[in-house]
Amino acid sequence: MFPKRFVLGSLSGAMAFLFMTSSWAADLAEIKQRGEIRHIGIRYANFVTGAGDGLDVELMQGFAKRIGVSYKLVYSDFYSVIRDLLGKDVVRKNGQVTLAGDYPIKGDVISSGFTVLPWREAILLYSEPTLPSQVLLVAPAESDLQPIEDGADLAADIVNTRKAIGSKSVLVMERTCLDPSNYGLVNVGIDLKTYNKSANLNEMVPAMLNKEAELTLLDVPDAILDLRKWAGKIKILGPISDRQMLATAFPKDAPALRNEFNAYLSEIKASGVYDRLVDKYYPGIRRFFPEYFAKTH
Amino acid sequence: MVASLIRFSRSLALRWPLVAAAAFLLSMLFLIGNLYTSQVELRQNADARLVSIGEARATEINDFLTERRQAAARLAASEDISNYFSNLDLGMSIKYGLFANLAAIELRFQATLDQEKYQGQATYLRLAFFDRDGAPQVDVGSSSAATSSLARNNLTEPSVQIDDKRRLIMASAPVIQKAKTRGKVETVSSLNLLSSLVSTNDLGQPREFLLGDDGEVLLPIEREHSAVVAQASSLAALPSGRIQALSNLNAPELKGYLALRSPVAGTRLSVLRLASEDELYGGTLSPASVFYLGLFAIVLFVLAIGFERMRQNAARLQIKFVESNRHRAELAENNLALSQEIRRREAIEADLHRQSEALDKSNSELRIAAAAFNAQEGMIVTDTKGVILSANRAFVSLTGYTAEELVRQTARLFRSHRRDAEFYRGMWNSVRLTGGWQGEMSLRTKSGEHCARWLTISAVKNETGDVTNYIGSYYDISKLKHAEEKIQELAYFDQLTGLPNRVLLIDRVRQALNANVRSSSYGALLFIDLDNFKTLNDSLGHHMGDMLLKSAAQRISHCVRTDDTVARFGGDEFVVLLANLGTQKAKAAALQTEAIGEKILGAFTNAFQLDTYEYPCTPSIGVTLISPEDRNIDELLKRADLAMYDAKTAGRNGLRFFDPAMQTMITARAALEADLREDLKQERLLLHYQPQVDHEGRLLGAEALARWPHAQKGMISPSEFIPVAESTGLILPLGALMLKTACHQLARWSTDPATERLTVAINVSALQMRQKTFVEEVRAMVEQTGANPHRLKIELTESTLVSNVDDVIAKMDRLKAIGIGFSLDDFGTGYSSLSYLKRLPLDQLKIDRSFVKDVLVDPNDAAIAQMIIALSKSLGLAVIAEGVETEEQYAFLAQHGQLNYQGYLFGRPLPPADFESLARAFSPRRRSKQVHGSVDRTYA
Repeated sequence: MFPKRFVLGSLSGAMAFLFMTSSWAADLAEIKQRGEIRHIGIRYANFVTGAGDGLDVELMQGFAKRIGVSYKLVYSDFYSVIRDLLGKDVVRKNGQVTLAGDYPIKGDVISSGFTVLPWREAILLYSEPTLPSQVLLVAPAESDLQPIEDGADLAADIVNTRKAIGSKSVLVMERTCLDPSNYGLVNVGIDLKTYNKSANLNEMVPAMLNKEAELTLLDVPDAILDLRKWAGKIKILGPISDRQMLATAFPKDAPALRNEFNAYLSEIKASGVYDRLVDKYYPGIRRFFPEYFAKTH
Repeated sequence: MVASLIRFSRSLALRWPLVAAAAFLLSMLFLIGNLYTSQVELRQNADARLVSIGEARATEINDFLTERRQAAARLAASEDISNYFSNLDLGMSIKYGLFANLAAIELRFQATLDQEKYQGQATYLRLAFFDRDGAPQVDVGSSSAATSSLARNNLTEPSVQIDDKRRLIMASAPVIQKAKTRGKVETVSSLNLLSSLVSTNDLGQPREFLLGDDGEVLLPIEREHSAVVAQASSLAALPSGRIQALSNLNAPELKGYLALRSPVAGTRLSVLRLASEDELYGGTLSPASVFYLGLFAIVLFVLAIGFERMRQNAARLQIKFVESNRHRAELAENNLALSQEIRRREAIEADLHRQSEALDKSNSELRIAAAAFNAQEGMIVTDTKGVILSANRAFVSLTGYTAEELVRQTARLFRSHRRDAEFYRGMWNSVRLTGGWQGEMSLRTKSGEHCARWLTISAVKNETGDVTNYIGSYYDISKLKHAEEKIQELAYFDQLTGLPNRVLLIDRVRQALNANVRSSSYGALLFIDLDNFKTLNDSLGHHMGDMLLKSAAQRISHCVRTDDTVARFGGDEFVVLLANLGTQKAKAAALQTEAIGEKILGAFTNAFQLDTYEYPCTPSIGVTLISPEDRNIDELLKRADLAMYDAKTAGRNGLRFFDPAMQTMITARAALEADLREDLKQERLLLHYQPQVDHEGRLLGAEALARWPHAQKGMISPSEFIPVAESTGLILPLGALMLKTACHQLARWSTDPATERLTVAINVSALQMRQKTFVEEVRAMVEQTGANPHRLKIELTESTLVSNVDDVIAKMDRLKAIGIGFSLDDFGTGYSSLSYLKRLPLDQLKIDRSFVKDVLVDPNDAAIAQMIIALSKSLGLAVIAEGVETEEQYAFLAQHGQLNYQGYLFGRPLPPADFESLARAFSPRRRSKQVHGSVDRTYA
């Protein structure tokens, strides 16, 4: 049964791909004709705050203005976000990614601090990076674990951090940038606690402080906010991942839309609009990724 | 003593310039003294102002520096720096954690740098946060603005340093975390910010400088005052808070300048203020100048006085010379005027002589006028407005007012109200137009009497023809008037009896005819002739006849109303005019006339006393009614005369109507009265009983109603015989008979269980109630018949209460005491005074049949019925509605209360036997439609 289902899923995914490919050239044109771009956003840190603003919200609003259409924000979550874009559910198994089922397409673009991951790249088109990120390991302030001594070598820092976990339990969230499978944490003897009360990454630190696990993974954008919010209550032990890039994702059949977005992104990086938005929503992140931001200038 | 004072004052007066000079000198000294004092005070005030502004400048600079210290301390204590150290203590590395806190601190510093402004300029050049080792962790702002040289120190509290060379203000504050100094925050501001606190070098204003303790001129930035820069070290060494003259300095530019140094507390800085004397004190004189100026004025004034005295001596000699010349000229002029005055006075004396002669002549004329004025006729003299100026003795005695009371009054004082205002206006118009007026005038005396006078008003004019006065003469015409009245009396009145004569009677009949046409009312003429008068004249003489006529006239006059006329028509004939009988119905008019005629006949019942003779005399009266259509007086008199002869023919001593129908009616009524009188004597009148029921239809009793079965005419309607009974007084025996019958009926019913509880209501007239013995008669009747007084109810009408209510209440109280009840009949139709209603000992109110009849169709009747029910309820009285004939009337009344009822719906008036059968057989309400009574109840 399994192979049959897999074949069916793959087939349907391929058919969908073929169908979409056959009409990829109409992506930007269709949106312009429709007169509205639907931005799929997830309430996550200061990317999409839920209060109608956020770094990605303002980016997409500027993009909508550029292409001369109205802007609409469609809320989603990390579990459903790809399905809402492609109308297909993502099935990951044994390193394979397939699309299955038929669901309503709710939006034209995902922009919500969406990490560029290999498996996502297999089914989505990504724009140029909108922000760098990294996944860190965080402990409560009273934890007996000590932050690593930062060195010049990131790979050594990651190794030291992973060593520090030992037998401690770690809070993770699947299908997000905090998915342990992205960082080789699965099946290596680490006590992983999956947080599934919600798909909101903002809740990871409160959940850890609520003793749902001894440690938690946390992305840099959230770490910047939480270090101020929970100052003196948490400590960052060290990095778990390499540098990651966050970018805006499009359907594979919308290259024109993606290209148009990239052009827009270059323009605002050059004009300083992008830096002002970053400083507004993530003050301090430029200190964390000085190399990246040096490039933007 | 006084003399010496006078001499002294005269000598002073002669030396007035000297005195004035002395006074002026004193005032000058006073002014100079004041001016001197004022100048000293002005200078002190200017000094104090310079000092206070200098201190204020120093304070403002100190405040600015203090604020910088406090700002550095606030940044050092910020939450972001605190978070940084907390996370540092947790062991977090800069790379993986502390970067976020440092970013927050940097953000805060940048915001402070951007937002903090002083006088429109950025307050800070640079903000830096150093760790304990002095390594800068956050550093924002211009890197050219160097920070403190003490990057690593043991700073324990905020401080400020002034860097003279680089012109910077550097404030530092330690970062203290858990009672330990963990680093410091330093702010760098430009010294130039203070330039706004040091005033510019405006002309006429003191110049200000900010000096360092080493003599450096820090502000103003522009070094225009090279002398100040050169002498800065000396200036910085000046004692603080005191104004110093700079005359000792080796700087010619600063000669004449005054300087004040005000140190800035807690710093090495001082504010220096420079001002010239003119700038500080303005253009005022110095006290010494004032003194010398005053002295110069005094000397000048003394010299002026000396010169003036010399000038005055010369002038005095000149004046004396001119004066002697002027005196000579005046003497010549006076001589001329004196001779002219003597001539003028001689002329006046001659004129006076002429006037004296004219006056003698005039006095003689006045005496004549006075004699005329004091003649027998009343006279007054007024001014042109009618105000009395004088009145003669005759007028005083005529009016009763004294001369003093009359003077200054107008003729209104004794004006009669018998004349209207129009008459007086006409009179005065005539006086003004023609200069006079005469006519009859009624004059009112002080005692209020009126006397007739012939008034002549004459105008008095002066030489130019203008009216100056009026003279009023009042001639006595009272005798003339009396004579006129006598003539009129003879013309219109009979001399023997004093009654109006034929002429006046005819005139009054004419007036009555006109009036009756307007009012459509009836009147009547009664022609009276004394029977057998001629026999008296013939037998006892005309004298006796005249006496009889006089007496008869009096008796007739007493029988009529004041508005009627009794006239002697001639011989033994009298005519009575009843001008207005107040009715438009002939029948009623006939009855009234008949009553008066009967009264006149009655007046002749007693014989006349003629001296010693008792003479019986009867009249024969002929009557004719005057209808509104009658216009012919002779015809009327003729009709009355004919009717009178008819009375004579009928046997004298009687009354006859000219109209046969009237006569028939009168005759029939007299017959009915006679029959009623007889049947009452024989007790032939009966009572019928109309049922009275309660709200559930249970029989309560009956109202007893009079019925007259006439032997020949059958049953006579109460509406016919009750008025006859009332007008003839037969209502009293009728009432007594009814009461007696009702009491007997009650006594009989008391023996039968079916009727023993029934009540009987009997109507009592006002005339009965007014009888003094009424209470005793009722009591006697109750006792004689054995009737239960508690079952007897007397129904009174409102007319009973119109007069002498107290007497009625007293009688009701006495009857109430033996158990007799009272019901007020026909309530609401007449008098209906609530005040007596409260006082009367009533048991029941009766709603009149007239209201019940229209209770369903007339909202007013419905409202009255409801009001009576409500009123009875509040007074605690029972209510009975009479005349209830339909179920609808009953239903309407029943919804407004628990009433008792009487009417055809419950039973007609029944003979006693039928009523008893009814009482025994059924509840009256249920049987009402089957019971047939005799007639309606009208005796009420």
